[in-house]
Amino acid sequence: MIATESNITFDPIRLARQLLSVQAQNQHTTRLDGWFYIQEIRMAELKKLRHEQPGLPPVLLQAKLLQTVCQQMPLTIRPDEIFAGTQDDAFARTYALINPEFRVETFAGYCDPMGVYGDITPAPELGFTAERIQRVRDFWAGQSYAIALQEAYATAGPELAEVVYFTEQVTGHIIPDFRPALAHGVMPLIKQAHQRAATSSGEQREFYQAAEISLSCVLILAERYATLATEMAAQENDAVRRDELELLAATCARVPRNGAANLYEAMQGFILLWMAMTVEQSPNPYAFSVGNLDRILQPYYANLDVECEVAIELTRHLLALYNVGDRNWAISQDIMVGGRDEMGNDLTCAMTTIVLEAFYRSNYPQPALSVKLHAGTPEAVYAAMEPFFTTPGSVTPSLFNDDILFDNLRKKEIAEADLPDYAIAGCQEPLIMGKESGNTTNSWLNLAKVLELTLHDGKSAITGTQIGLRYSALGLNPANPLQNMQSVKAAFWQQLDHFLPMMEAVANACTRALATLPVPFVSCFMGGLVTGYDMRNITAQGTKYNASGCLIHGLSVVADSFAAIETLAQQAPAVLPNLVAALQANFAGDEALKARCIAAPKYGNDLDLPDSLAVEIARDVSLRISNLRNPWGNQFLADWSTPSTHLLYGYWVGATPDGRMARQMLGYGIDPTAGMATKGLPPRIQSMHKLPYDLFLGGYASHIGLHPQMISNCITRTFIIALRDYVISPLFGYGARGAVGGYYVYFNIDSADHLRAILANPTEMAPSGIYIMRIHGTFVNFLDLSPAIQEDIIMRLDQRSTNFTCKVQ
Amino acid sequence: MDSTSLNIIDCGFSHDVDGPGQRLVIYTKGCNLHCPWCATPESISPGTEVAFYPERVAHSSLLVGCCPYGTITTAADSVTRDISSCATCPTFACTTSGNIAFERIGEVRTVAALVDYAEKYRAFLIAGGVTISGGEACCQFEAVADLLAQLHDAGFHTALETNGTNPRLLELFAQLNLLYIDLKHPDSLAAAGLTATLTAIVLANISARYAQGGDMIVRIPLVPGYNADTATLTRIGAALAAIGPLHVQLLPFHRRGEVKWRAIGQPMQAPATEPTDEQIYEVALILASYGLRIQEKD
Repeated sequence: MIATESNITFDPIRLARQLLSVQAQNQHTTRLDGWFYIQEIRMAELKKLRHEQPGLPPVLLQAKLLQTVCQQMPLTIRPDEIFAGTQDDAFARTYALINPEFRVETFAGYCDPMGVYGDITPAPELGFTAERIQRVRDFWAGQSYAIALQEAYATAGPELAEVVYFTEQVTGHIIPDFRPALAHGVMPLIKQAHQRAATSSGEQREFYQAAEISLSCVLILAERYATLATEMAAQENDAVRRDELELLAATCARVPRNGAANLYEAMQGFILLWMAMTVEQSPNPYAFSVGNLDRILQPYYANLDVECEVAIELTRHLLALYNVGDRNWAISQDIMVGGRDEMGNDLTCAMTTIVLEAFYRSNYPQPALSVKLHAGTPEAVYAAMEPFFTTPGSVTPSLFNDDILFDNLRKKEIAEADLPDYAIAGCQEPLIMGKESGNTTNSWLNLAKVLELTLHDGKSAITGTQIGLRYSALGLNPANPLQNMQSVKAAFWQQLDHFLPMMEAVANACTRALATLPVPFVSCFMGGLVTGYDMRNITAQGTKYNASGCLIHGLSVVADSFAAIETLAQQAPAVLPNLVAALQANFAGDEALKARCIAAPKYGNDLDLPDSLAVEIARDVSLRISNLRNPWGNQFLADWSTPSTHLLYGYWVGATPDGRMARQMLGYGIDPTAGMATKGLPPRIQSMHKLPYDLFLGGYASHIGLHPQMISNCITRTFIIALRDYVISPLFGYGARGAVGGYYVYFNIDSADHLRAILANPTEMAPSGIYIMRIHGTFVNFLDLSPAIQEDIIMRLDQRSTNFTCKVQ
Repeated sequence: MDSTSLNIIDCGFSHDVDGPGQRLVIYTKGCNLHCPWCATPESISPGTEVAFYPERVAHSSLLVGCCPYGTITTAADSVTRDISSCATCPTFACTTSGNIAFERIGEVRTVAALVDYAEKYRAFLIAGGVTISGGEACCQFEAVADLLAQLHDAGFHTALETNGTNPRLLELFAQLNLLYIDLKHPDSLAAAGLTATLTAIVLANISARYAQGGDMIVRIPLVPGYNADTATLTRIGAALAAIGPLHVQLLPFHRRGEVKWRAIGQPMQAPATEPTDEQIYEVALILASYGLRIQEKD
């Protein structure tokens, strides 16, 4: 029971029923217009401020805009909601990349900040006329941010259109640290900002002034909700609901102004802080993560004698914050549990299993769930994870390995005391909560396209456009460019070195464009109150740790392609000169050569040639990326993850020497190309163990699609313990001598036949309309996806590569 | 083959099938029996051979030229292989042509290389171990003995799957954590090359292992037309019960090996029918009535 001033006690059964009601209301929320109101409020206020206070520094301007938005935006408390606050108003209708409208063919090659205005459907009966939408769009298209971004992309050439690389301004992708505000309230932070503004000067003074204003914004929201709840309580006939609304009013009057006294208050305070943060960054504040929710809430759970069931249901109501609108599409907002400290002590707590149970019961695509593991993770944590993996269509946590990851964080010069506070942002990028701006998705690199250009005299095999360096510049013989693997590989590196500075320049231009939009509110929870700088400020570093990211695509395709060239050179030198023409023709009329290319040794089978090439590529590309510098003078970090972009980027790559056809997807993350690892899971893992994980400082992606039969085949132990002993422990190197192993994986446990049956007969096979699968860092409703993504999920189950009963030599 | 090397078909992994936990399974080549129901017929011949899977390629024209010795003949709608010279092929060139229709069966590996291989995969085997299977591993007795000893000394949990007909089997017991031993028939079974003498050796080996006290599971292949009748099973039950309350596993016949028989150029001689679940249950009841402890294996 939760003791409160109004002496209400929560009934877990009522809480569960109320949650169903909230979720049902979400499912009927088919319009998301709040972000548009916010843009309109900002537009009017910006015009007014420019008139009344010309020359106002951008950081103060943004703080005042947030203040006005928080004062004016419409607020509601919906029936059966037990917490006040939402992030729905920060998001537009098609807010997620992975949505049913996603089409590989329509990838624009750049990030259009005005694209969001295409998401709002004119509805004159609601006052949303096309003219009104156009007016707001035109205003924001003329502002410095949109112009700067447009100029950034204009500096790039055709290499951007065909995705040799891609760059973007990185919103989100951080983990704010709300713990001090939850423990002590926002008031001490406001006081701190006020005092520092008085004793500092220049940009720092401006930031502290902006911080004071923007921190007060969350109190504005809290007060408005308190008033609203009081008014609603006065008109409420149902006594129980009236008590709830009165509790809500009293709670919003206390938190986050003051420190939270119990679990309910902590959750309410957290929600309002989250709301203010997402409103500040609307529209579409993707990829803000929570961090270790279990550790954040444990002090408040431990404070009082709260029934476990109540805590689970309250947590489910908290998780409902992350279900935006009717579709609950993935927006890369991550929650973690578990893990250890820098000494190796396990940090799991009562809230760990409570959060896991809440996720399992709710089973919605948002938010994403990850579990931190280490060699000493208690069996109880594994037991709590078992239902996720044994229930078809359930969310399944991705897994992180603290034992290896801590060493990588140390290589990033993360302080020992900060190590346990790493969490993931976006899909799987490990960053320090409240202290690190990783700018993680700033640049994206397509190695397969670089290879294609190398093989085709710098011309695109898709469009014929001259994009890269020609044979003559690469030292290749135009009459016979494929003489041996070594010369092709050397040319590939030269071609890559040609593009990297270009990518660096455009990526940094995007970062500079974003700097025109300071975010003082969230910066207060990212170390800004210590440094005195906004986290987007490029003239001074506002966070303790800072870098930019590069997501690298095509590891397996390029490694296998070099292996195929080498194999042809050894086994069939006479046909090697025919390869370029065959690739150009997409193997048309040369099935025999294609078969040879496919039969060449492939990465993922524990074979020396392709594996050593994969290691070389992973190492040398990672090192090259680490030599790039962002506007702060800090490194770019290699992140070998491909969040569905292996489809997009593959679409722009012609046929490759590994036997892959033109426009086919690339390999996912560091995984073998789908269908090419045929020896089963242990050899596949053995191949992947050779990779230089210590250079993957930005993260990486890897997926294992297990057949459900593995569950039924488990005779001597429970499934989760079998998964631990047969897969996780070897993969993460538990029990190994020395640091061997990876630090990330996610699973889907399903079969291609089953998924196709669901698609063929969804009403019978998935009557709830929701069938959750995991796709890179996020959950998705398999039924609510574009066909290309559905096919990708099916293809990447790739169960010949994950078979346990397999022959390997 | 010397005593430091083994001819193997392959190495592979399984879990909870060839011993407790996750297992590295080493499949040896060569068997002293020739059971018509064998699911791994490519393991019977001791020599290297080529399995041929023309159905793996999209069109028969892709097979042209893969064998430099002219064993493959293709027509518009058919492919034939003259297998007579394949067993003595000097190069097995077809298996390195890059064509997936050809699969080499049989590779010589040193005992040291196989131990290294197990070491390389040790992380996968912590909750399991290494199983030597076949073919019949004891056909390469000296090398298998050496391999088991080295694996056992290195701390691996070891298991052996054997038809039990080798009279020296008990020499391996000290290195074995688990023995799987077949009893295919209570007497002789000419179709499989099993004589009454060999069966007597099997029973003697079972008896010796039981007396010694090491873990053992007796496996009975259940093959209609060969040993699945009540009279035969009653005698099997009696013979085993005379030794003790042994752990027994039934291996119901299946036809999944048929494609491999075809690939090595031989028709599968086994019966067309697989035992039904009801028949398997009845057999289990018969054996259980003798005090044997029955497990079922897929």
